[in-house]
Amino acid sequence: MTTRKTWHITATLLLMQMASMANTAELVVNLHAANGKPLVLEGAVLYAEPVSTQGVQQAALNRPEVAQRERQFDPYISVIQTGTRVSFPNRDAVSHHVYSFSAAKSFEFPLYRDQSPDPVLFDRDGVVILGCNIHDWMLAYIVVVDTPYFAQFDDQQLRLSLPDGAYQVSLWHPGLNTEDMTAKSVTVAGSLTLDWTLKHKSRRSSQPGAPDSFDESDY
Amino acid sequence: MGSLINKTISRKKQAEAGVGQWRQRFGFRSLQFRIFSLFFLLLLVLQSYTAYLVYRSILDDFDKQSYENLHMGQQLFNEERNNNDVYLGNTVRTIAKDWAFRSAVGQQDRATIISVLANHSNRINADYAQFLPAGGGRISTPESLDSFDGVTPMLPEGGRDGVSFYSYFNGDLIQFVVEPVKAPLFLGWLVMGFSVDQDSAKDLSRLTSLDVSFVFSHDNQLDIIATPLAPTLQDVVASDLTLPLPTDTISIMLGEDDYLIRGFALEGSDGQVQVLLSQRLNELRAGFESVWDSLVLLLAMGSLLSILLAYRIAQSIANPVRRLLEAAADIASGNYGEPIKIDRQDEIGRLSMEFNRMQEAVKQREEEIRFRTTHDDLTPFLNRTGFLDALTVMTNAVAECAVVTLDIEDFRQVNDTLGHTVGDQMIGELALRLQSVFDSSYRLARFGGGHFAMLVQGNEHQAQQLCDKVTQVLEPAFELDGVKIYTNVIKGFAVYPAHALDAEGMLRKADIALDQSRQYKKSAYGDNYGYDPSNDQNTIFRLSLLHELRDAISNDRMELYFQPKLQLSAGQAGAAGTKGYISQVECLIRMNHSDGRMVYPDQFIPLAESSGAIVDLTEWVIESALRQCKLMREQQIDLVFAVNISAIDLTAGKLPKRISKLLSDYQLPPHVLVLEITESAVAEDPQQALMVMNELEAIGLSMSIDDYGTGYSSLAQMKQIPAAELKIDRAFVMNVVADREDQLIVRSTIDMGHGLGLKVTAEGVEDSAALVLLEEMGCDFAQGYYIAKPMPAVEFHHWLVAGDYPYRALGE
Repeated sequence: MTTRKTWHITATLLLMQMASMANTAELVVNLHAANGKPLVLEGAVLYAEPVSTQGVQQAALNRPEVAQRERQFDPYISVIQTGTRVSFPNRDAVSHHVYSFSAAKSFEFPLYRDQSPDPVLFDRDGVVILGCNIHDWMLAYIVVVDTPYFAQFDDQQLRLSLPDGAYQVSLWHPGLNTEDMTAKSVTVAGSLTLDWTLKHKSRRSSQPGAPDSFDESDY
Repeated sequence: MGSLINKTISRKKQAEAGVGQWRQRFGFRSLQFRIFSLFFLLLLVLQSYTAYLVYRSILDDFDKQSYENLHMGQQLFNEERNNNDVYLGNTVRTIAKDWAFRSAVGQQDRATIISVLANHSNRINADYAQFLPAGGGRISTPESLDSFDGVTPMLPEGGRDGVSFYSYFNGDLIQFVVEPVKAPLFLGWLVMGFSVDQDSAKDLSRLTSLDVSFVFSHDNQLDIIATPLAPTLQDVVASDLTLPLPTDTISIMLGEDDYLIRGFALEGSDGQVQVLLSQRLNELRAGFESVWDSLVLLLAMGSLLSILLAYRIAQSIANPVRRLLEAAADIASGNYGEPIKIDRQDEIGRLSMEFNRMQEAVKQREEEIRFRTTHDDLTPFLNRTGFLDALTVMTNAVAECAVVTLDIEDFRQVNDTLGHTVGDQMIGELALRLQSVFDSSYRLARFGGGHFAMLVQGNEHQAQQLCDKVTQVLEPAFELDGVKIYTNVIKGFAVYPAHALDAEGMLRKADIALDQSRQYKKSAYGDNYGYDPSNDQNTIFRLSLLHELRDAISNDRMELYFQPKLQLSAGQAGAAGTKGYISQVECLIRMNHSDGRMVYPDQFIPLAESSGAIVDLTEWVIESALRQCKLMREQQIDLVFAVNISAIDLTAGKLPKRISKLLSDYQLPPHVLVLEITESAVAEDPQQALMVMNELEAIGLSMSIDDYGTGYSSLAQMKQIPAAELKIDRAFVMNVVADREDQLIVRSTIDMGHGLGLKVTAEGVEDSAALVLLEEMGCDFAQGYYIAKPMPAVEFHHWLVAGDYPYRALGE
């Protein structure tokens, strides 16, 4: 029952977005380190929440997945809109035990192999931290945002298409200080370039690899 | 009783001898003792020093080992704690990653978290477990740990790594092991606590073989947390030990025992907890003492060995030396035993070899000397000493034996006439002939000159046979240097045990027998040459007589008797109707024995001759005669005094000088003295005798040949003697009236004497018929009992004055 209702809502949002396509604007955020130099922060998530939720549409209906490949989550950082279902396909020959104790979404898939369990619906916003009980080092983040306007760091910058309007723009990355991730209020008309200078040193966090001692043959 | 004493004494002597031997062998000054002491001390010192070194090194070893033990203990302890840390870290880390636990934590399910903690604590024997959520708060089991603030300050930054530390809580020392909990990001800390209790201390003690105690120091006080030590000792440790504990091992007295201790801070306890390692030294020393016991045993055995070795070395040096010493003593006492056998290649061996050679040389030399002292140097025969030895041996060994002595008459003449070389040749030839008579069982000896002796086993008969055999082999002439010499061998023998019981006696008796043979002119076959005891003047009586003689000379107990000689040819009428007068008198010596007896010259003159007293005796006689002559002359009586001279007087040589001196002393002319000499006196050494007689004649003395007819003198010899008178022996005169042969001898002797220009005196005239006959025969003087027997001086004087016969007055 719940699933059907969700699908209905999603379809409505999609329609709304298509209706406002005519006055699309672009928000570009240039990241700068504390010393002012441009910062490359792979996987960093940028999202904008419209101040007025009126007319906000559900993002295009996609079927994102966080696969397990070579005992790594792929991708490391994902961003989805609330209500999105994410699949966790296992592309390894070994089993995985994917779990999350995060408040936004707590779940687990007990040992499975070569199969994709049912996609998980992420219906609350927040950062969901994924782990694997078999491979302690495996780590992935799913940033669940309550807006269709989000993007990930790409080609030196963060670029976001969105309709004109007032937004709370947020940045998220596991290597960033909380203060540096504080939302900024902006009004977008046409296009806007925003310089985001960090006050703290950022950690260039990437997905941890398997420890040296970890050898497949041991298992 | 006596034998008992003797035994005691001999035993005592034996003991003393034993002690002496012991002293000789082991006395403090003996070589052996010195060498022994030297080596023993040397070995002892070496051994003691070695033992000391070993003892020191073992002791040092023990100390080092003991100290090392504690050091090692500390290392072991640390290693064990590190291992334990790693183990606990891994264990706790595993729990931190436990799905159930992570699930509970992830779901923040407090009740489940406590359950999981309790469960895992149980699994790994942890005493405490706690979860510290990253966001704060404490979830503990047991719950009491909630109040403990000690963990939070110890938490590492970042929540990536674990940590282990010790903390003191609730009177317990607890090792806390903390590991981060991730799901997959850091959620909080898992804390597990392990009490370090008595059991842990005991485990560690067992592991390190030391006493491992955990002590807590606070306010300079020392609380024992966990220890295997006995409670009483714990009190001592708590009160005696001061902080900080020594970081190096030290020895300390705890209670009644010595301990080695060291301490160090327990890693991860922030210096509050110290570990005390201790070990009772007695336990270590027990091990050492057993080693020490074996060392002492070894030392004792070594000492024993060194005693034996030193003794052996000392013996090996001293023994041969002692044997040489004993051998030297043996040689000194004339005992040449076996040669010393010391089979060694060293100096001692060479010494013993030299010693043996010396012994051999000494032995040979002594044998040679002994041979020389017992053997004649001209013949292979024994000498007197050797003969006496052989004789002694023989008399001791056999029941009967005999000694035969020989004397070659006139041997001296051979020497004098033909030289000593020929004399020696003759002795050699003689020896060969004698040897031919004897087999090896006889012993032959030569006593010098022509004097030989033979020792024969057997009785008188065998001795007699031997004498005849000797006569036979010596009868043929000796041809020496182209001269034929005939010998007259005088023989005599004595037999054992009939004649004497010892060697000296035998020899003396044989010599006496020889003299008897000589005296009685025995030389023919069948004559008995045996010793005749009845005719022996060489007896004990003779010996005492010799003593008496000396005594008599010195004490003036000699007396001169006078026997007148009647001069017949003077033709003056006498008292008995016969013609003649007294012109001469013969002085005859008498000895007044101390027992009052009168002793006649035929008893003591041979004694005086053999003892040499004759020289003094003759001088005494001459002086007495001269004194009497002087007295007579003072009374106008003019007599010629005749004295008897011995052969010894002639050979002594000083007779002429002495007579000259006496004549001048008494202021008398030499013609008052006539010297009567027996022909045998001349025969013994004619040359010397003739020389002396010529000297006597030269100073104006007249000589008379006494006892004519008894000797063996040749007329040729007689011719040489510068005598003025010949006295016919009484043996021919006594029976001259009745015996025609004697008449013939006397008459021819008177004629011969006159023919040689000599006056002739007949001795032994005992009756008037004889006197008449002699006067008729033309005899010049008569002497005998018929005229007068020998009288002492005073009696003679009276007799002369009484006038039986006229006497010649001075100046007539």
